[in-house]
Amino acid sequence: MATNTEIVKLESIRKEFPGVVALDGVSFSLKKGEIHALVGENGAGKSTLIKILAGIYTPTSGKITVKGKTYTHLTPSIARDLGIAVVHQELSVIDTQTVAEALFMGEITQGAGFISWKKMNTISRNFLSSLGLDLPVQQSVGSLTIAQKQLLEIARAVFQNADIVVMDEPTSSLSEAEVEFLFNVIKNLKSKGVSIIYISHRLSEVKEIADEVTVLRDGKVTGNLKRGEIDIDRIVSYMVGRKLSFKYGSHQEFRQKKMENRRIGSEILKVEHLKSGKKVKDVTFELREGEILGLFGVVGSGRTETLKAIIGAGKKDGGTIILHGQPIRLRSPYYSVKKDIGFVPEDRRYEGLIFTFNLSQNISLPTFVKRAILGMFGWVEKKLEKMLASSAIEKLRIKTPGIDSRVDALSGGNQQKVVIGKWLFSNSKILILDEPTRGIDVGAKEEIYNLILELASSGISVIFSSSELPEILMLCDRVVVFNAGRTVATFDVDSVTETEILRAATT
Amino acid sequence: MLKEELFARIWERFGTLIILLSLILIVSLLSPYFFTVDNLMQVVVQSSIFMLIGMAELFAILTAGIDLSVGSIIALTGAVMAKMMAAGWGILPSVLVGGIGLGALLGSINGTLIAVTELPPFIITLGGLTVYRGITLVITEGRPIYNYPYEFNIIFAGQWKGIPSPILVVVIAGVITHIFLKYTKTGRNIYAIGGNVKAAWLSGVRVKTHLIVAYTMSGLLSGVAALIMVARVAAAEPLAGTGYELFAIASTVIGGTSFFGGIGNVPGTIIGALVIGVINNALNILNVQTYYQQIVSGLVIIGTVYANKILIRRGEK
Ligand SMILES: Nc1ncnc2c1ncn2[C@@H]1O[C@H](COP(=O)(O)OP(=O)(O)OP(=O)(O)O)[C@@H](O)[C@H]1O
Ligand SMILES: [Mg+2]
Repeated sequence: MATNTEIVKLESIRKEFPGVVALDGVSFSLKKGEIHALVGENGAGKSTLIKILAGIYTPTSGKITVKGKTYTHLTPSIARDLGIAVVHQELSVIDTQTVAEALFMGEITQGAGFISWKKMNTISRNFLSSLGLDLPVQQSVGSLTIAQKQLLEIARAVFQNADIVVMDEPTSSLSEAEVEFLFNVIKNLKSKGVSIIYISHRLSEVKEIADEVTVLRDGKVTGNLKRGEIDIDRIVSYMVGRKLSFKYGSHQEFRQKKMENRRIGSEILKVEHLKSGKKVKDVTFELREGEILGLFGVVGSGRTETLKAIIGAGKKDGGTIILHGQPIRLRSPYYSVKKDIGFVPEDRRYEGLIFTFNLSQNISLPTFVKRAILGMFGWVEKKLEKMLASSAIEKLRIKTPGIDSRVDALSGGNQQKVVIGKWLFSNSKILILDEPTRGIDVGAKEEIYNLILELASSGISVIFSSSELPEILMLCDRVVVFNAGRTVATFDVDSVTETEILRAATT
Repeated sequence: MLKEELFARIWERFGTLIILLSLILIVSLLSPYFFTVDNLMQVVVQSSIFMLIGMAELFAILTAGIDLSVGSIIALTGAVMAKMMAAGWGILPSVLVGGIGLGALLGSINGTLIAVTELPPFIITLGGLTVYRGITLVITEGRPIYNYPYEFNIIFAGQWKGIPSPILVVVIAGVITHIFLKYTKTGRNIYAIGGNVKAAWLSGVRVKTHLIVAYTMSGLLSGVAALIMVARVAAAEPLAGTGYELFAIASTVIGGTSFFGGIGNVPGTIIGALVIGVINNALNILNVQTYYQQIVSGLVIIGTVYANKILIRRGEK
């Protein structure tokens, strides 16, 4: 029986998908006014559990008790009526709506079935500013940055006045300042008695905010820590069932290892006074052979737009790009692919994956383009496709039933690995990675860092754009700091402190 | 759960085929004249044009587009081909240039306009539909063309070793199209564009080039359909193929092609075309009045596509 403080209780939940047991007897309880973190490796079953609570999936077996009432399964509308609001891992806001519309989501009718735009805009503006969020309510969602969309999505959950708020990796595309903002929102909700389930791969965040942590591994609960016992190393050992070779958070060892077998050569790419649209005003940096160059800046500082302008996926309004000593103009991504430049975009759903393609078709796409004449003629090389897919699965430890699995059946982190896998084995000379470790668990991050190092030692140059400073400091050789569309400083990571970088990025 | 999953898998693969077989069964029960070798052969021959334009449409819909001009391309290529033959060009050159070649050219015009203007394919090919029809009416002066060598009709509407030539044409075109879509990189890229154009583009797929290729193939296959159309009617009619875009779209969609792009294949489309062929044939055999035929076939098309959709979805949650 649920005690009066237990607002949600899940008992022995089991969920089977074809060929996969995603949850195997998971029990979980959420108390009123508690912030309960749910952590685990990619594919551990976190999102599946949340979707069961949101009424999206029907559990194969198990009981769901919410506010004292027990159900075998919920539906989205029952979940909503029970006061459950969910911020899903993948963004669900619609690009063509305005910010205000997205916030109101289906509740836009006022009066006799007509939309009162004026009223809606005013309410939205007031609500957003009460949260401390500055979003243009009349603009379309499509014009927002990915971080702003994420914040909008969170605001929408708060707007529903739910008393159970679930957030599935809300910070995966947020930078520090926005995370802080989010934490204030969360604390505020908590003080109003709202209960929160918080999923994240950023364990330092979990430690900072959670009252209780439940750890999942392979669909089972492997650990439960209460406030006071929460310790990152312990969480990690419950998560992965093994010790990681570097200690999460401190990266001395990795830094040492980093310079073994490395040789940084001469300049290979140079960007001078690049201008592109409103977001990129004056960007200058150079990349050397075998170097891992970090790009850091708060969200909206113009990193993504810079990278897109370089590869020919964004317009270039000024400046020069010099590749191997020659000024070039890449008219579309095809030409950059042909010049052996690979690009991992930050938004896997809209720019990274083809959901009608299976895993191996997704992974082989850029390689096929490169090997084809004019990017089109030639046979589909089945053997090569199979080989690319299996090495990606093995090296990135993609959790999948097989090489021809549908990508939408993979967990978020595993989808991200597929996007990285597309380029990792495509023989690129320059790899441009935009937030590549978004939504990837600590163990797999290590795997990816190691792979990037391996590539760099083999002479490949890497541009690593990230809003997570610790990983830049750990992995990169130099870091270029962006601030409001300009490159404001370049540092050698071994002789710079976090504060110096942050100061350059924000002032 | 597991049973539903199995069901969904089977349905996804063989759904359209099951629908076709059920239709055949029903019609056979309703009329003794349906299930005879002669009539079934007739159905296949009657469906051959739908199969060709269905494959034409498949190319367009795979890219998440549509081609409304297939019927007009049939008429225009048919007319030009007949005129060329009448002018003494010889059958083979006329077929290659005036039929297939011109079809490809008209398709590539659609494709280029779509790629360059970035207007919706619906608009561009709607324009194509009227413009190509208009040109046909101008060059034929609105009259059918018969005065070409009768040999042509014998070749393309006759038989070869007992097999009706339309079926041979469809087999050849179908095999080539199937291999092209499934086993070449160009085909793979066409699917990629339909699946997620942005992701495909960022992976280096040349979107515009592939759009042009897809619409060119669509036009080419419509040109092939014109061969059979002209030969079977024994004339190049200026109004030939009017309204055929609907049969083309229905064939692919019944065959499991997704309007959102990226999903669909040749075998499905062929079966989809047969479904239409069976419906049309059955309505004739059962003596349904022509006016009612349209109503019934429309309803059956909607029903088939809907059945396909819900049955596939059933195993998914
Ligand atoms: N719709 C689906 N069909 C089939 N398998 C699925 C489906 N959704 C999830 N799975 C599988 O269930 C398992 C758990 O996935 P889930 O999305 O819950 O992981 P997660 O813990 O959220 O991981 P991540 O940190 O990567 O987001 C994975 O093995 C995944 O492949
Ligand atoms: Mg997840």
